[in-house]
Amino acid sequence: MAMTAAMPVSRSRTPRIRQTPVHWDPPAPEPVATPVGLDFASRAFIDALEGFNVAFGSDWTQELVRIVRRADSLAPDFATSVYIDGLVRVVTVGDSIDLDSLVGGADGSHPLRVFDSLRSELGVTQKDLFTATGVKHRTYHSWKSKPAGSRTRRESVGRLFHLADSVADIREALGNVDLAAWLRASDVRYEALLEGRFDDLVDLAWAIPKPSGRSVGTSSRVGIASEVDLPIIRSTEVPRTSRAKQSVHR
Amino acid sequence: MTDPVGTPALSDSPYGNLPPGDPRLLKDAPLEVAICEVRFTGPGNAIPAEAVTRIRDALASALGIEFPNIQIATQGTMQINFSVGASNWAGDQIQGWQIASADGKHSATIFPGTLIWQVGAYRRWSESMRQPIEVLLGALEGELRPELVQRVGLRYVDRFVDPDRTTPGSWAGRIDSTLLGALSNPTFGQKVAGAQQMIQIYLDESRSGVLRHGPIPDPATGSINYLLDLDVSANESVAFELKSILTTAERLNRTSLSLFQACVHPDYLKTMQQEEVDD
Repeated sequence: MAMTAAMPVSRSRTPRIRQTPVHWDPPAPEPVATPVGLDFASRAFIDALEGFNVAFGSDWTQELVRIVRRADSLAPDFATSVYIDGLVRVVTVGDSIDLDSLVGGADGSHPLRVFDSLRSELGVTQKDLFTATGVKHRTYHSWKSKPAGSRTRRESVGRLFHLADSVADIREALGNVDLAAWLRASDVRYEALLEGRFDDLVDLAWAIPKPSGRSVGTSSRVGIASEVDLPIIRSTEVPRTSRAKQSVHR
Repeated sequence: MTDPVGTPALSDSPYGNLPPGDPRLLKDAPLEVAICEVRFTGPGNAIPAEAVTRIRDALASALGIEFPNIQIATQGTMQINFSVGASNWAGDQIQGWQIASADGKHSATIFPGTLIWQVGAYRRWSESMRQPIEVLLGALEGELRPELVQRVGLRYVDRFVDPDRTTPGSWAGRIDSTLLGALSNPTFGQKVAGAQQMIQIYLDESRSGVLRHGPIPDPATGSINYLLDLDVSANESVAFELKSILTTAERLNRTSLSLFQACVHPDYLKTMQQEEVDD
């Protein structure tokens, strides 16, 4: 089955922290977009429209995406949402569809490539990455022995793509910093990785203080007026002043 | 600019008390694509292949355009949650059809609850949109017996292209200054490398619009294009009645026209207009 997935996009922007007001009114529903087909559009038009999709990317936790896919197309036909975010699976028309078994990386990569790429970027041992992601040793070797393009069961990838997503957020936070060196520079960070607390790792990258009572492995939004400069003091890290930042991971 | 003759009938007027647009067509129109979507509900489920060929034949006959391509289309709706340890999703799929012309400039995508008509070679409202929508909805009415319309959406995506526009700010005098915003800032306006804005427009309780606009680099020419993406819609549940839907769509078209012309500098608009009137 030929698969194509939309890329999760790393946006160079300062995330913002949303503050839930005391009297909370449900936000107005996001406008529903009239879908536009890109199948026969010029490259320049597709690039222009997708540039807009990047600019107006969502930071909602969950997002409903509707995609129509034609068998002979190389790009998604329709995008109902104004934006596309996160890992998206596009189903090819004509194949027998078993969505439950479909997994893939942001760029359609097999989990094996994602695993190896993360291992290289983070500078960790294979064993440590197995621990962090929950991927079993034998699963990894079965990936290596299977032919390219073969399906992978969703349950077998553990937290691998969650880590990949988190690393993308961390990269955005740190810019050109050597990720492996950054990780190794602090036991707190490395422990968060090994324990699968990727949201905490992202928070460390953005230098957001952890609210009391927050459960391990989840992130929450901290309310700070976005226009106020404030020093962010962490117990172990070097303090720095920054604009209020969003708890990045959705 | 010539004012429209007389007062437009209610069925021909924009929503939201917007001023009627100048109906003259544009030569070298910057329109890339126009789309109309109608969502509806009814007892109909799958659309048999025989039905879609009948719809295709009716469309071809009415428009004088060949539609050699009919393909199955599957709509997968996926809700993805990344907030917990591993990603998970929930979704469903429905099957429909896509009817397309050989060059892909005209296509109709039909699902049991949705009709999408898309045109990449737009000439005029009556010919490029109203007529095919009428044919398609009429055919669907017979095949699926829809009962309620949930949404009618109309989207026009314009891409202004001018090889001489090499900076975002150079669109001043062509795009209305209220849209250019920061590009006109005396301190940093000339240093702006990119800008995109999304504006939600309230027309009335059940009708609204979304305008996305901004300068977009065109790597092929090294120039800066300007994208104007206007999406207006009526979101209310009403009985499925063909004439009513067409009236809604037509008023959305008038609304889009009014908004589009408000986005373009009047002098620049004049240079694009011809004498022939859209209908």
